[in-house]
Amino acid sequence: MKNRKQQSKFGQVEIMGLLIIVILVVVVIFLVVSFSAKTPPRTIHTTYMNDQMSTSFILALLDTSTECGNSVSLSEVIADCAAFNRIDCPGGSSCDYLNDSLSEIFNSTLVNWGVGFQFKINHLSFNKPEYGNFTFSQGCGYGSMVQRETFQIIPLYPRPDDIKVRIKICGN
Amino acid sequence: MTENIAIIMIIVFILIFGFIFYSKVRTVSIQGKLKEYSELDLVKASQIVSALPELSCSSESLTEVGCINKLKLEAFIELDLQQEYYEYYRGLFGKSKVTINSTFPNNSTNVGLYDNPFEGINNKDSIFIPINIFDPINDIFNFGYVQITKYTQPTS
Repeated sequence: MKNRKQQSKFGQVEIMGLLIIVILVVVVIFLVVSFSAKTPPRTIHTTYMNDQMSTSFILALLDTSTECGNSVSLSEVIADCAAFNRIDCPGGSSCDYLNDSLSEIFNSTLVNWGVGFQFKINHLSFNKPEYGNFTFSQGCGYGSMVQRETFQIIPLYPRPDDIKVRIKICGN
Repeated sequence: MTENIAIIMIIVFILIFGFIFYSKVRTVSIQGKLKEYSELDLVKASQIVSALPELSCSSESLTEVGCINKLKLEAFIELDLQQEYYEYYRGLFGKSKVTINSTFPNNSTNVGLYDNPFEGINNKDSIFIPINIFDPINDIFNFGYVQITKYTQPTS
């Protein structure tokens, strides 16, 4: 009688052990699935847009007409600001006009859309602190990841040097 | 006897719990797939719009990339897509909205080409493509963009 009671007690302890194992397995599966469900989904259109943005933006920007001279393009205004200073623009020099125009374009597009970017014109003559060195930026600091970078070259013929216009599109 | 009943109850409980959990996970995964397909549709629509021969600039039979001819655009708007060619463009763009805006130096162009939302509440995802809008009369390239908004129905 005593032996039978002891066997039953052992059986109960084994069942408790199995139950604890099953509960642990269920909890682990639950945690794994919860973590995988919480992973943010891929935003294909954002990745695509950022990839296309830099190239489309810089190509369209440099071909854009201005109110300077005889409706010269923005790339000609950039060249004039860097080297020649011959073109008349409304409201002052080609550099003044360029700074205002770029600011207006970025504010109505990339800034408005919340896209991180850094636009820079690389040439010695564009190191002008009064124009913020012609660098325009939003959300493209040290912690951000550069998703795409594109540049275009504007030759300053007959001078031997040229201007590099560069845009970076950044993400988080 | 009591132990057996307890074990069967626990197994049944685990099965029911597992089934509920699996169905929830499947629901989340299907919603993710729907979102992914909707985003792919948006990307497809943006590629179609940026290469529409009805709108793009051309010179000497060569099409220019990233440029929309303003005169073609005005003629295209007069077509009234909600009427005559609705079925054709509905096949291309589906449930979306396409607008074209110019920003510099002239911001007068702000037109809607196509709009086909769901009835009721719509979720929206947008994509922007910078372009030039060429005015052949004044020989001016405006800086602008195409905005494509994809409509999706909210999931409960």
